[in-house]
Amino acid sequence: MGRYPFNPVEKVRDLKELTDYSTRTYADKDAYLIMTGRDSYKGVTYRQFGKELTALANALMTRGWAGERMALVGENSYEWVLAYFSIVNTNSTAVPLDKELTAEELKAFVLRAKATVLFVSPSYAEEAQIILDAAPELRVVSLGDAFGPAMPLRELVDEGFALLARGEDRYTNLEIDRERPCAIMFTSGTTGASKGVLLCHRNFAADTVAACQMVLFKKEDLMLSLLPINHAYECVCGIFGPMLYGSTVAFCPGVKHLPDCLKMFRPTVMVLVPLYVETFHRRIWEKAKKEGKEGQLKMAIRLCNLAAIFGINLRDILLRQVREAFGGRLRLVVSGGAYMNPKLIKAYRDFGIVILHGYGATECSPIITAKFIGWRRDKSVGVPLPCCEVKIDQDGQILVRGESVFLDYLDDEEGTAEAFDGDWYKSGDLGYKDKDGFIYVTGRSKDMIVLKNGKNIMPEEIENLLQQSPLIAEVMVKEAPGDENGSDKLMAIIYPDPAKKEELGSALHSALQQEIDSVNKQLASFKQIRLFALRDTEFPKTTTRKIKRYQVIFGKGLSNV
Amino acid sequence: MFEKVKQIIEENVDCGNVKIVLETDLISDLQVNSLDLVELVCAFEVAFDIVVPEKDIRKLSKVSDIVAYLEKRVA
Repeated sequence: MGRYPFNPVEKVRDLKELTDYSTRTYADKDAYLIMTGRDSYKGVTYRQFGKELTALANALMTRGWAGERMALVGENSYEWVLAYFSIVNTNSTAVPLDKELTAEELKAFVLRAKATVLFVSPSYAEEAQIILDAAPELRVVSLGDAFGPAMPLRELVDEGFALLARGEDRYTNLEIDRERPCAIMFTSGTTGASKGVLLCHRNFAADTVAACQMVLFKKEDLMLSLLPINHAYECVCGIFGPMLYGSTVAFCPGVKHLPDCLKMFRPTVMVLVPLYVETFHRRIWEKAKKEGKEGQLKMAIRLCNLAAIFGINLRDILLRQVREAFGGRLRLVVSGGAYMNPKLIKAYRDFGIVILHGYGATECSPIITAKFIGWRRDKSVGVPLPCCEVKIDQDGQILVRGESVFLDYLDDEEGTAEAFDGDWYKSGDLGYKDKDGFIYVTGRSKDMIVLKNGKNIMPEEIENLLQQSPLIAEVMVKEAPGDENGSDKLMAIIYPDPAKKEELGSALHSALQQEIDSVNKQLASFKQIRLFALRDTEFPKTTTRKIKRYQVIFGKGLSNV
Repeated sequence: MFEKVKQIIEENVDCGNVKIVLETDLISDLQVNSLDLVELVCAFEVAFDIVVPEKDIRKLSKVSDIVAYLEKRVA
């Protein structure tokens, strides 16, 4: 594989160097835009962000909190980002948690991580109280206004400014330990099946720099941060990358606010998962159909593509309405987290929007492969970033090694050992490499389910809950049948207890539905079982009595689907 | 309340041949995804003049959940 003309970027070695560099280099530019109303927002410059970060970091250090593990729960916000950097940049460990989890799930992760501080947005006050009841020593900081046991973040920032005014600054010259875990990223699930991935500054810095060497953002770019910020994907692509380039990040506080945010911020870049890409595309065509403009749109696309051959850009004129749906300025969508249908990449290209679909894993901080703008192998996920190497083993599994590969799993030596083959991380994904070094992902060899909304699910967690029902002898959870773009929901395949089946007769189906409803209540929405099917025979099993998942095919030998 | 909810769903979602009843699950029966669900909830917000917090949307999967939620909120 040849070398590519990488974009020149500052080669920061840790996240403190990243914030120091960007706050110094882009001082007067807006780093963040914060929505203050349906059509109003305020900006925070890189300089202001740097000052507030220095203040907050000093407050944490002076209070003696630095070095500890601190959990974060909340919507994408300036305060979340400020808290995150104040944690990682003081040699502490951030534990970003998925706000979609239930209170019990959040509690389990906080306890497992042994977090001593919880940064939480006021909308999760109820969950914070449940966690606090189980961990009374926990210090709770609100990412907004004060509530119940939580002191507001602003108070800590002010405390830091008071320290600085007295000349007490422990942060500015602090040396970062680049090998120490700065974040614990939990994969899905609360049982032993879930993993706490330990990532260090070196991992994040290497991945961010390498991703920016390939994916060109501009200082003038405006990125809309929409995907859950607790994921390494949104952190690196949506926060760290733009920071290295001096771009501006606008926070979308939730999907409900997306139409207002697109209209108000008019983003040029978005980081998305395939579900969003697909839904936006579907809605554009539905709207065109409803307004009787389907033929007109098809014709406009043909004309634009023809004109593009001669170097003429007609998209801004003929496809103005379509482009307005994204705010009018969107030029680039970075996509990852799940399978992307190549047809959608082409469809967006027709609209004048580039989709760069890459591949990654939390364990690799997280981006592994990417493409340059202009590369067209739509079925491929691109080539490895310059910070890592990729090879395919004899079973077709994708292996990764390099600076961005994680340290180990939290309290799980066995799991860590199993995850590596020497210094190669075994991704659990199957794929191949073409003669030019492009990587293609074809499936998974590990049990984890990846849905098109980017959510990763360990089926064992849900199976263990379902297995507690006396009606269920054996169960397997897998993705429900979807469309050509994949699936966004789960199904259970159940082998019912033969005696109960006979006893209940035709009432079995509704009794099982009740059991599933009861389990669903214990699970975050994206983990809930939406369909179930029955088997008449036991599942095929290995000699160690584990279900042979890949021999279970939907529709084969199933009834009551 | 059910009739009003049913009407809004039918106006905003392609229901095909699925008959809307209290037990209908928007996600498994009507193939509504998480983004579509948010859009549907926005329609309820307008119709009932309420604001549904984003975290509450995840609890609304069955028509019966929506009816119960709206009855509580509107009251």
